[in-house]
Amino acid sequence: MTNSPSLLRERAVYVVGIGLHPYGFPSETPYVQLGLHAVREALADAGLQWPQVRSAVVGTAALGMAAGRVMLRHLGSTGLEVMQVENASASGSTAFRIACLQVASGEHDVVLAMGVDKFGDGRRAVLKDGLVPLSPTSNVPLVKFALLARRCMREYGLTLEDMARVAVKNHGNASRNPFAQFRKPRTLEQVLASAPVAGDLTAMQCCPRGEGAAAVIVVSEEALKRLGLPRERAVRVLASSASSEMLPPDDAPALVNLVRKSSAAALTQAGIGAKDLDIVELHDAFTIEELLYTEAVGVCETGEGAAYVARGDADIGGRCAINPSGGLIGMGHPLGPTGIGQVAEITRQLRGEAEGRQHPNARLALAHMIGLGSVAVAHVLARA
Amino acid sequence: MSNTLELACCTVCGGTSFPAQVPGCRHCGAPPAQLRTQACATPVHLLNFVTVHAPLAPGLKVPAVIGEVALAPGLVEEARIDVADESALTLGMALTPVWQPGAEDTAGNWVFRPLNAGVAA
Repeated sequence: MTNSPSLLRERAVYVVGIGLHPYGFPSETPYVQLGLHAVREALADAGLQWPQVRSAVVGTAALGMAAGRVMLRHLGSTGLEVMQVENASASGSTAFRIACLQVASGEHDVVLAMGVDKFGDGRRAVLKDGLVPLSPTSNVPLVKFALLARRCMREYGLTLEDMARVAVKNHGNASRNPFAQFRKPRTLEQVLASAPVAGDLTAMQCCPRGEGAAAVIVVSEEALKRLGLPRERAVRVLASSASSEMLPPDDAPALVNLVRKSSAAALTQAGIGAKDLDIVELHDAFTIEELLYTEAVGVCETGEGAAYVARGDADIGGRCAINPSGGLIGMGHPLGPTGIGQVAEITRQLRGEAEGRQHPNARLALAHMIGLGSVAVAHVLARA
Repeated sequence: MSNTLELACCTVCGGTSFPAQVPGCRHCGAPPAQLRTQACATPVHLLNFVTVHAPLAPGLKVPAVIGEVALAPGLVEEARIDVADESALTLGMALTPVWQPGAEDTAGNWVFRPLNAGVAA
């Protein structure tokens, strides 16, 4: 699928309903219950009934074949289109992108995008490619980012405290988010003293494993009017972009280049600059990522990411709130739901309904996700 | 598994890929018929390293030192560094690949040791 610079500009797409099942540690709760909870909450938030939804795009990385249909039949067999999407950590973001493009293309005018997952059942294709890596860690993202963090410390003077401050901020934000997996604020000392995992990254600087569900409903301008939905609670999707990594021409990490390219494509499509953003939800699976991606998106200059966090510019109430939900580190990263959860958080913020963690005067936001360190999906959303 | 560390060299673009059995050049996508196997030039050089403390991958005994090594120009791979701890390492140091045969029911693997270091028991 190529980027579609004109579709979302030509035909407006709005988020009108959001729903979440709180993220949590692995449990015995069936995924169907997690997912239905989120979908029903999104329907209620939008003021819509299930038969009004004409298509459902389900993002999941670990559940297996036809997870969406198995779950959604409990809402009633209405004959809607059902599609399942797997794109690693970006599964939910990709489901949202497809839902937006379905509406923008005119294929459907009321579409559900949702993500649901439970930890433990995932099978990684990279382990079945028939190639033996040099190290058993070659496909372990945590090790890749621990190495990148060490390199940044050596080459750019990044400190342990610089990285730990990201975790302090995101655990703090998550403590104010009732849908977050972690609900306790953490101090710099606690983050630094938590168990070492790899290199300089400690446990509290890493996203947890878990489960959860998130759902959003997107509609066309025509549907917004026809269904009498309140425009003041609608959030417009200005841009959607997706891409995969290229081997960088220089020594820069390929993933940072990917974030730079994919976010720039979305911002260009939206007709805004990075400095216009009030909120960014991004892929902070590990603290080093938030620092590098904040720079790559362009919210701050290259090399300024740590200072941006230290000054409080990335806080709720700062210049641009980075991961006000708590991010992957604090809110959690159940895979399929994560990208949808970003959109739900942004929608809540742009509506002014993020009670207890509201970023003031939020008008423009970016949701950015990475999948398996090699694909990127970005969306720009705006208060309607 | 050969006891020589091998790479795939592309006859179209000149790029190198790892492992030698790749089904296409990672740089230009040339098919296997246009890749030729060549031995990795040794020693290789250590670019970066960390200690892994948690058992993050099957078969990885921790703590383990994992490094990034340059197998060829433009080809950097993660590798096990066979040292007791990071104090034995310096950036840029020369490393030599050593094939470690597996036990009865486990596969062997490559480790990298500082050049002239004694063979671990």
